[in-house]
This record gives sequence, C-alpha cells and structure tokens, in this order.
Amino acid sequence: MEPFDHASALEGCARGDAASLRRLYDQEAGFLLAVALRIVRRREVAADVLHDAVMDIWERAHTFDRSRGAGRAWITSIVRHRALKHVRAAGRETDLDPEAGARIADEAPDPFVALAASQEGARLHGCLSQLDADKRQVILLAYVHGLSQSEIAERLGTPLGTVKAWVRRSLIALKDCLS
Amino acid sequence: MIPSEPEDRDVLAGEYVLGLLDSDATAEVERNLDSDADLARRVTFWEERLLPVSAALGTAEVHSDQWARIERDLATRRQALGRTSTLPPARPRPAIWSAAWRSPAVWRATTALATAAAIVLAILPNRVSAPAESPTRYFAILHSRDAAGQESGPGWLIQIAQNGTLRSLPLSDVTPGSGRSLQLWTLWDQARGPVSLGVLPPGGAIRLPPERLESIGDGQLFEITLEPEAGSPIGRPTGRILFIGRAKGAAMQSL
Repeated sequence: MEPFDHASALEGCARGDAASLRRLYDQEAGFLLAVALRIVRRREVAADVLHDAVMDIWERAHTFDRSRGAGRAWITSIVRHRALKHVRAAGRETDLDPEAGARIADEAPDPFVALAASQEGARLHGCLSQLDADKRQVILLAYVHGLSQSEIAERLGTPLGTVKAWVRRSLIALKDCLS
Repeated sequence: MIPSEPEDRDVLAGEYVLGLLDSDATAEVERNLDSDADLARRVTFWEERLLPVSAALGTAEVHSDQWARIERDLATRRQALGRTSTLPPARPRPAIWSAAWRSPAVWRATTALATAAAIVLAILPNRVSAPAESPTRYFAILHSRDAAGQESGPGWLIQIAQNGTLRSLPLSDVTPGSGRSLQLWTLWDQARGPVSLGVLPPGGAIRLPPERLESIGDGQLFEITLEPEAGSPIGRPTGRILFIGRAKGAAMQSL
C-alpha cells in the first residue's frame, strides 16, 4: 500500500481544496483524536480539540513547507498544541484529581512498550532505552500525556528542580543519540 | 530570551515540543519560529523524532458527527469569503510559498478594506507631516498578521503618488530587530509571484520607476515581510508576512 501523502493533502488545503482536507481527515482523524485524548483525557473535550485543530490545519496549510518537515509531524504538533493549550488554560488539577489522572495514565498502553513493537519507532526506542527509567518516564509523561513539569514532579514524588534537570539532560542525550 | 548556544537551543526546542514551557516562553518560541530558521529546524527535529511514540499508541474512535461539524464551519467561512472576494479565481501554481497569496486570510484582508480606508483617511492628515508632492494615485492599507496567520487591524499605510513616490506609514509599533529589515512586495502577475518594491527605509520614501508604477492596479496585493537587513537574498519573500493588503485607487478630488 502506498503511504499516505500528507504533504500533497496539505498543499491541497493551501489551495482551498476541501476534498484534500477530507482525505487528510479520513486518514488521520482517529490518530489525532487519540493524541488529543491522552492529553485532555475527556472525550468531549478531545472532540473539540480535534475540531479546532482541523480548522487550524485548514487555515494554516499555506504555511506548511514540505522541504522543512513531514506533514504528519506538522499536523500532530497542531493537535498537541491545541490540547496542551486547553489543559494549561483549564488548570487540569482542578477538574481531575491527581489520582484519577494517574490511573488513566497507568491504564493506557505503555508507550515505551508500544514503541518497541513499532518499526518506525525502533531508533527512538533504542535511544530512550539508554536513559534511566525515571528520566525516560519524564519525557514520555510530557510528550504522551501532556503533563507539566510540576505535575510530573508530583506524580513521581521528585523535587521540581530534579525534574527540570532530568528534562535537560534527557533532551541532550536524546539529541545526540537521534542525530 | 532565545538562547544562542546550540545545546540550549535544542533543549528549548525540545521543551517547546514536549509542552513543558510556560505560556510566556511558548509564545516567545512561536514568535521566533518564522524568523529564526535554525530554531524552527530544531523544533521540527523533535516533532519528527518523537512522532513514533504517538504513532505507536493507536487511534481513537471518531464520532460520526465530527466531520459534519467541520463541514459546517468550513461552509460558514467560505460564505464569508465569497461575499468579500473581488478577484478572479486563482490559477493553480506549483510553488508553495505563493499559496499564501490566495489563502483565506488574504481574502479576509479585503473585508475590512473599506472601513480601514475610512479610518486611515481620517487620521492621515495628522500622521503624514509632509504631503506627497504630487496627487495620490493609490492607497493600500495593509493589515497586521501574526505568526499564526491571523489578521488584526490596519497596520501599515502605503501611499503611491502619481509621480511614483511611494510613502509608507506604520500604523502600529513595529521594529524589525537588529540585522533585519522590512521589505515591501507586490503581486501583479500571479505566475511571476511577488516582486520587491524595496526595503522600507524607516519613515522614508521609495521612488518607483515609471514602469513599476504603471503596473500597479486596483485590488493589487501588497505585503511586507521580515527579511535580512539588506533585503531578501533570493528575490522573493523568505520571512513571514507581517502586513498584507490591497491597493485602492484614490478618488480624483483632493482631500
């Protein structure tokens, strides 16, 4: 099967072609919704995030440049920023108690395990394996569940300063490994 | 402050992609992404390298109503655009950058033109100290556009006199930053793309050669982009659009 051509679909959107947006939506809505859902944790909120993100994609498609990066990463980042904006603005702690949040995160498939099984994730899995389990957890809690540094500190029972230092060291090590 | 050390820039880009920056720092990164290609590359690096994690976690079931809602929103936006568009339908063109010229945001820029013209004309006598030495042939009110492509109110006034003198007047506070400049472009031929009218001298005027002047018409697009100090090295816009709008022929009678 031909891989889906995200860049062409985005270029179609930039031309104002709604059929291109529909193709992109049919291909990726389920994926993008899952990304949003892991961060906002509520189905109806995730649906709103997806809606706003699709409208963002439509409006901003003209700024997408295939020579600068992959289309799938571009749309995923639009959804993630929409979802993050929502949880940061809403103050997640107030509408979901930390224990419930932790439970949801725990019940979800372990991203590190899932990554091991995926072909495209082999390299990232290898690089994440080189980090200590705690440091790896920090990166994944932030990326997958959209936790802030203070939420991560609370979750892991680690001082905020330590979490910040771990983030920095992990990113430097990952950059080195992934480059 | 965006750091200059490569390692710090990688960490900042990584924290931005992970969503670990506070709202001020996030906004600062976003403001810089269009003008700082190196930072944008580092952000893209993380977006692409971390994507396999999301990709490995599967999909969620989308409610069947979801697309209908998107379609309704698209229709509303198109209707709004249809009412204001005055240009013929765009011809397909290959280059990606040129897509900006017919983006919905560009079309929207025409919406408020009439209102904006009224506002600007009302304040013009106070803002322009020296009147153009020859009658005005065209005005263009350019709207401010942010990094996300959203437009706000009038941000720049372009006044083109019949003798080819082009004056530009900022209506909002703009400083291009050190080593950068603001460059004015116009589009009279879709196939050719934007043509530079020059780097805007602070508060100064540009003299257009007669053939340039003759090529300007009613409804023609003008835009100001952020460029290196000496202007774009490649003859077309490289930085993001800060202001965009269309020319409007001046009324024959003097103000």
